Amino acid sequence: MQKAQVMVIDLLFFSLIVILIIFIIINNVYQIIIENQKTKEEVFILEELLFVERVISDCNWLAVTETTRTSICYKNKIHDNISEKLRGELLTNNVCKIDVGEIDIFNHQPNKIKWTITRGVIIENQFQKATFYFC
Amino acid sequence: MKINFKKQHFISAKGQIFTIDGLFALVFCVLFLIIFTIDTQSNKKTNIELLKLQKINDLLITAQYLNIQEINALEKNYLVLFPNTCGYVKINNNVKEINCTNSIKKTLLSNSIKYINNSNHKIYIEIGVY
Repeated sequence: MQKAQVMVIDLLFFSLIVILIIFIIINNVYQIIIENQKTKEEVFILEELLFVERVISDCNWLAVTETTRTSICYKNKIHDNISEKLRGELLTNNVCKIDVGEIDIFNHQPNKIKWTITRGVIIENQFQKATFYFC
Repeated sequence: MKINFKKQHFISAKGQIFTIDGLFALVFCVLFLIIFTIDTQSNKKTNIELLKLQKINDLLITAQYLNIQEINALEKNYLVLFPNTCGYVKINNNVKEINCTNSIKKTLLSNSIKYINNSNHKIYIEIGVY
């Protein structure tokens, strides 16, 4: 092989590898951007999971407070009265519907349901599936 | 003849250096890509596992409230929250596997509760989900 031919092949290889490296760097940057977006989404989902947890365990929201024990309420034991304060919180957190078993306890124009979170609760001394719809 | 041979040897060695350099760079880039991919997957997995654990805890706490002592009643509640997921329920020494026919058991998430019921009996409930 001639010296010139070897140099041309060498240069071709080198430029090919440079192009590949540039592509991989761009791809990496793009992936980082996508990853950031995904992380934001994941944090958003985590917030929704924790919000639902709070809805069924907070004494001022859905958790039942027994009249004989004024300051004690039970996690996962809920009632179906949606207070004005809770209604506001539900709307702020994009909850548009709550089903407990077959009954809707909250329904606010569920147009585009993005996803749902299902939890197990007790209502009127019966185990039921509570479904939170996020719009 | 001798001079020509030396030149060719030098040129091919130079070419090899370029290619090995490029290969090293490629290996590093692939490693970076793998690291980023693994990191993204772990986030998703954590949220799904958290939701599963929350449901397991729901089953345990409601079983205590309702004073469930029969494994069939607990199985019924399990199926409400995990209609298609393989797992098991255990009350004291009775264990029952649910939805596990022809399913692969990968990572197990489980939790348990121990309490004394109204009749002064110790109740141990364990729920696991694969």
